Amino acid sequence: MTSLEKRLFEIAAQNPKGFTVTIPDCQPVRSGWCIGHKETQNSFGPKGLKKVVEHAMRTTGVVGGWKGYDGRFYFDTVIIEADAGKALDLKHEHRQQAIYHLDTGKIM
Amino acid sequence: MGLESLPHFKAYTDMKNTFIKNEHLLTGLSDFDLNTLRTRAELHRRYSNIDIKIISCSPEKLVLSIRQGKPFNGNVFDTKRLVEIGKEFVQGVGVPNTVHVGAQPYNPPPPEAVTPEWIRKKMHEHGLKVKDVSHALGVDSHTISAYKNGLKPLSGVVRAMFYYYFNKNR
Repeated sequence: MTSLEKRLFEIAAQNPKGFTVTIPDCQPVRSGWCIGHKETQNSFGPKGLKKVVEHAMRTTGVVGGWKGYDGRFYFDTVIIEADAGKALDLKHEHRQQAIYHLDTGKIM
Repeated sequence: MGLESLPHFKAYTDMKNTFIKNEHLLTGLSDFDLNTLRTRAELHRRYSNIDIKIISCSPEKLVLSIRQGKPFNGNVFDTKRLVEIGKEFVQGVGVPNTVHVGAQPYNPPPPEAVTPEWIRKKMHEHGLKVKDVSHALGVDSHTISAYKNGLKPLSGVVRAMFYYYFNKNR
């Protein structure tokens, strides 16, 4: 496990309800529409995190995580989009049921 | 006969797959609507640390409470916005037209005000040196210096230590 993966696991353990950070600096993302990336769905545990970190490094540079109903820590690559129209297109492209606006708590 | 075949067991296990507290009070919803609400609740929890609880539900009226804990990203919503979020939460699904929302916004504990700048300001106000604070708190002076200069992260316990030292005991 790399030091970045360890840091992300620590953040997940301290924030089981959820977190979204840029990598590798692990700073919270505060603004924009959040869209889960279709290629990292159902990634959990250390293996899942490794996959997500590698994927996010190549793509959006944003990782999110939360503790699921089953007690496992889930992770995904998150796309952050400021424009609502583009975010809606990405929602469909990535086959998401819903997307979330960090600034307002709105869901589309 | 396995437990899974019992209707109550199935209902119980289904309810565990939700972040909506008292979800069992929502009766008469289609599976699609219920899944929509579960997804919304999960997103509010994940991105804003918002929990949703059903208080009561009758054919005429739905009452829910919405509460925000400390959000990871620092985006705190006020009471007005939380009430709106509560109403948006059930928008477009088959719930009663009359929806009452009780909102509890995040109320940060006083020690959250403690930052490296805050420590420096308080030390200046009280005319204290690092060695004075170090002695009073029984913490190594290098550690106090690192907190004061933002070189070491301030945990919740450390914030509380500084907060009560400067505000309560002086």
